[in-house]
Amino acid sequence: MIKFENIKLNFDGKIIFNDFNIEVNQGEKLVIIGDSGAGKSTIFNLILGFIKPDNGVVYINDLSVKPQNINKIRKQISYIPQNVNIPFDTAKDLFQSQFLYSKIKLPSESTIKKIFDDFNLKYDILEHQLSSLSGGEKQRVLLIASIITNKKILLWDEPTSALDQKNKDILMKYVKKMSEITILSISHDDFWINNATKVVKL
Amino acid sequence: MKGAIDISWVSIGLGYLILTIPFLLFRYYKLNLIKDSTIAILRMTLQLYLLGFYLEYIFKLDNIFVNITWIIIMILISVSTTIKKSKVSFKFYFIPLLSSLTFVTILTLLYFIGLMIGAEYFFNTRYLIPIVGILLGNSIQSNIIALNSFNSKLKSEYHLYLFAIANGASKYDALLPFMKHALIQALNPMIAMTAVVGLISIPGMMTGQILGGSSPFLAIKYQIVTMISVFFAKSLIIVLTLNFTNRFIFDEMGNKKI
Repeated sequence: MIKFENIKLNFDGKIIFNDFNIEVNQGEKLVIIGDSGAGKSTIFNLILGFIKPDNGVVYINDLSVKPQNINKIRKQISYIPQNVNIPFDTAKDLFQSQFLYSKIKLPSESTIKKIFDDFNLKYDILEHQLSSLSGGEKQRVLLIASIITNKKILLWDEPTSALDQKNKDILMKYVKKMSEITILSISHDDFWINNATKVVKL
Repeated sequence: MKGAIDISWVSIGLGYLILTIPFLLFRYYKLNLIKDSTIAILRMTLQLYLLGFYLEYIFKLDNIFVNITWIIIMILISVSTTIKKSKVSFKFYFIPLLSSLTFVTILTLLYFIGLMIGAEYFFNTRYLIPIVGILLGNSIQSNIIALNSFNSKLKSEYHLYLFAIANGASKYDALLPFMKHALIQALNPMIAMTAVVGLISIPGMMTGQILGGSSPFLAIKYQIVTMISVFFAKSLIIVLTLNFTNRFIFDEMGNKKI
């Protein structure tokens, strides 16, 4: 469970959160919506410990986001940023990063091939230079990696921004099967928002 | 062998005169380097002159406490020069730099004077002061390159670092690509220089020794042990400096403070 308890946060003299409270139960698919600058990414930053609230506590599965817990918390999370232009050499480096960072064993090649196939990606795309992939391909590579890490919490920033409807449908099919996994996402995509179990407007 | 021929002050004056040519070139290309060059050359002259007086004095004195004080001063000057030239914060970098330079200097001296040269008296000024000078002088440059490379890559690719820690990487693992980059940038010039020594470059220390009357073979042996020591010291100082500074420039949550 993810819990924001009485969060207060000012940034550059502007009030971002004033007594903000929210609870996200395990397995929920929460989408955060709102205008730019409303604090959508700040929610992720608070969960990941990149920003410290002025007041209040964020809990991730009963662990407060504090220095003594932060490594344990981050190991439970798979995070995909909005900008997937991360400086890796090959698509494989990008894909494997999700496993190597938290020292998770990679699934079998057949499992990976199957899901790549489902997402209309050739398996050998992993050998390509990352710079040669389109935005949509990079996004799918990261989403696949994120899904098969089997981590309990997924934080996805605009996960469908570079996907066509066919791939959105496939992604949603997988998401619906992940009943134990909590997914928090930021989105402007009506299709994605309409399929959420909970929507928070900031 | 005889000692080197003395150079008169008139000859040294002639030496300064030849600098008018690079200065005219600086002016021609509007490089804006004349002021900095003049200050650097005046500083070099004054510092070496004072060093000459000082060395003359401490060589005669050969006192352990004076030598240690001199080494401490050299380390402090190296630290402050590195901080200034790398344009980093004194608050975060002073202790890491001081620790790594002091630790590696002591370790290298123990190995160099104690084991390789096998001097009877460890604190012998004749060995101690020039060797510390060579070690620190060489390490300043590579340390500056390492810090600049590390900090500029971290600045431009901070999102990669955040991506790594957000996905469960330890701070150490997340910083590894940045460490590797800084080490390669800082150590490559030294490796290249080491490979061509004797072919293209004739090291200053060796030249000095030969001019001072030593046999070329003795000068070569000293040059080899000096280069090995510099290689060791530079590599270790960079690794320790980067690791120590990473304890100061990030907060408990792994976010960069500055």
